[in-house]
Amino acid sequence: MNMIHTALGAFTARATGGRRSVLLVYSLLLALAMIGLAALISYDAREHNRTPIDALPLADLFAMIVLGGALFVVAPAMVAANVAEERRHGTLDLLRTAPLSPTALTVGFLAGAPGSLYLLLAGPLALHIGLGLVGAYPVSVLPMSLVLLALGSLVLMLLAALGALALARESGGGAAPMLLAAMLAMGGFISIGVANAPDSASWAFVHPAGALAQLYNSFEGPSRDAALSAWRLERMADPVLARMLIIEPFFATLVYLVAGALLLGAVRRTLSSEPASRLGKYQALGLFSTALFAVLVPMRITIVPDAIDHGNFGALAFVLFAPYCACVVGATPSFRARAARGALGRMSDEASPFWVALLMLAGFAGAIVLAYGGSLGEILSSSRRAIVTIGFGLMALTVPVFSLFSATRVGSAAGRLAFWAMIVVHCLVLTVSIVVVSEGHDPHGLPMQLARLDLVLGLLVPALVVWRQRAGDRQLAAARV
Amino acid sequence: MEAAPPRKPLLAVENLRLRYDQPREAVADVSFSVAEGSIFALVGPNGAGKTSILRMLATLQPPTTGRITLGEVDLVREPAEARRRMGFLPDHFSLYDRMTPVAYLEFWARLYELPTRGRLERIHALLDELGLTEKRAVAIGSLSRGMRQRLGLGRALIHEPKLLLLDEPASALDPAARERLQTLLIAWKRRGLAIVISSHILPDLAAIADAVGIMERGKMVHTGKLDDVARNVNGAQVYRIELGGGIDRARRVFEERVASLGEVAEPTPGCFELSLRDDDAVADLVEALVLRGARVRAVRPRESALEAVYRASAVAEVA
Repeated sequence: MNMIHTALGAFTARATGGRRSVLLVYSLLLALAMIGLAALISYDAREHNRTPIDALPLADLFAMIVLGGALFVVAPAMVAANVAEERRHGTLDLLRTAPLSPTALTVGFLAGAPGSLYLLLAGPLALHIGLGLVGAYPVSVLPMSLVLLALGSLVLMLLAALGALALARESGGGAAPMLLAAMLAMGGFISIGVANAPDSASWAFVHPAGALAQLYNSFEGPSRDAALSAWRLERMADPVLARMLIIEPFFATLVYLVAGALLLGAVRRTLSSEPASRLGKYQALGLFSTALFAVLVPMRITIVPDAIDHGNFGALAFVLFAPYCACVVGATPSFRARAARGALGRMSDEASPFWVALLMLAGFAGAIVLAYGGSLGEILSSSRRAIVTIGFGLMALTVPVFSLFSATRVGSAAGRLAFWAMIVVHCLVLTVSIVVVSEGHDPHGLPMQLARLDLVLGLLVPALVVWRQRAGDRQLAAARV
Repeated sequence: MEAAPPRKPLLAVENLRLRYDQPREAVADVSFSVAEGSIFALVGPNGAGKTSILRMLATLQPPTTGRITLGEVDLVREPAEARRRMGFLPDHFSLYDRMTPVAYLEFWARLYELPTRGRLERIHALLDELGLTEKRAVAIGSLSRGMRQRLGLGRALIHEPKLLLLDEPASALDPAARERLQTLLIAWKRRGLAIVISSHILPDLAAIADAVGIMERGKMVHTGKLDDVARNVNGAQVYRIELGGGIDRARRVFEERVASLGEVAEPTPGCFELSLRDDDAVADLVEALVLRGARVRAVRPRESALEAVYRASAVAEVA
């Protein structure tokens, strides 16, 4: 605890220097500007006899947009940029010689890299809290909104730090954080879209921005008015969906907590000794379970599973692209062959991922059977609903498969090439199938065939990982001889 | 007069091994110790394993097997505690160019939990010792290479460690900066700091090192006090003998003693270079030259004892 306190003090002081007061003044001005803009819009609506708009809830919406954008996009990008820069310049090694635990160092990066941003956000945050307390929006929303902001930002920053730590040391320039920011922004926008569609709202939590949008859709206010069309508002009034909107933020919190703990473990592991793999096999399994749980549970609780909007299916797939791509980066292994250290057990970094891959496949099949009932054969053979489910599951599976990939040292250049080729093909087919599926509904037409192909490719991923590892084993054995 | 008691070993390295992903070990069964107030020189060609050892000592890389203790602290089990007692300056390092030296050292002082009271005094005293007082308020990016090196040393010493680890600290410094670094290292050694230093610049190391470890392909082929190692390795030093007269007589002396002296070079007339094992051998040769009528003007070692030891071990390794 003491180390964390030390890291917090040192890193935030380094980030803000003597500019604290200036930043706080800017922050105050920002909050005042939000209130002013909201008042102006409210006055304008009243003057021109349009639908009346309350200034205070609108100011809160502005504050939430700024907070969400800053904490879910800019802050993770700043963390990625800082970590990548420290690595490239070799100063990360110096920091690792300081008497800080890996957790304290991680906290230092998370607190220090966006240090000035946090100060700038003090005003909008105070505005959000203040408006909640004076009743501009239901006060019960306030604690959950704060939890979602904090936890969501934490998870995304940890993901960003892990991505920056996984980059080759030489490539840790400005491109990676910009790419990450772009992906997170895109994911955020799409997940807000998902949150605003009643059929797919239960998956909005995949990005914290979606979870927050969902929270704001659960009560009457400018967010609902601006984002939801009349018929969607009607659907939102459905008691099942209304109940789900209340439950969902808790579900999101649970998922973020587990994912955050796993990502923190991976970052700590990397900072403690720079292992060749960024995740341990237990962390890969944990991510797999979380992803599967998070995608399949909403499928069970959603109100109209048979009428899933294919457009939203596509949107959700794009949202999943953010962690997908981050895991591609995270999975990029070093070229170093595995060390000949003897038997270290199936869960060690050096062990083949065969058993873990098998466990994941069994878990995936079991989860689908549990979610739908019946046998796996029946589910796979017929309904569109099952195909869609499997599509979701596949997207969930890509994350842990990449995690598994990064949880194992890799020794074969040919295997690495094959893996990247597979990723490209997988991405292309997934993208094409999403686009086509979103436009057609024929269960026997091209879209469904593409979705099936997607399934085959998805199952091929672990097989390729295993093959790749076997090739590495053979190469290593040959080198030893 | 009583002999000085042996100095207590501060750093003890036992059977250290490190294996990366290659079948060959990067560090193979290395053991040595470093006493308080002494300088231990790690010497060896590129890829010999010097940096790997320093990274393990700095707790940046856990050893595959082996034990490292700093005082009572086990480096693998208590890395954070060990880091409080050591400072590390790697070969290639960067500073935060936009910060000033004072802000930079203050950041590190905070990380090392130096008490607020007295923190600034410590920083200013260190900057003064390093000759950076005048530059305390400028951006680090504007400092010369030598100044940056000294500021890096300041960072490694801000928390007053007991052990200082330096990886090639003089590799990019000019002669004046190297001399200044030597002076600083000797001063810190006298204050009781134990220093482990790796370098290619053997004459500099020879002037300051108390003990040496010679690395070859991950193994420490020789270790111990410089004199002991020199005796064990049997590394004869190359001397230069300059004559003011009787050059032909001297040539005859060398011819007569060719079996014991080996090859004698004469780069310029009256100037001879040859290998001699110890001070007695030097005295014998000078006596013989004088008795035969040669006028000896100067006898100087052309290389340090460390260079001689290193050369001898490198030759042995190749053989």
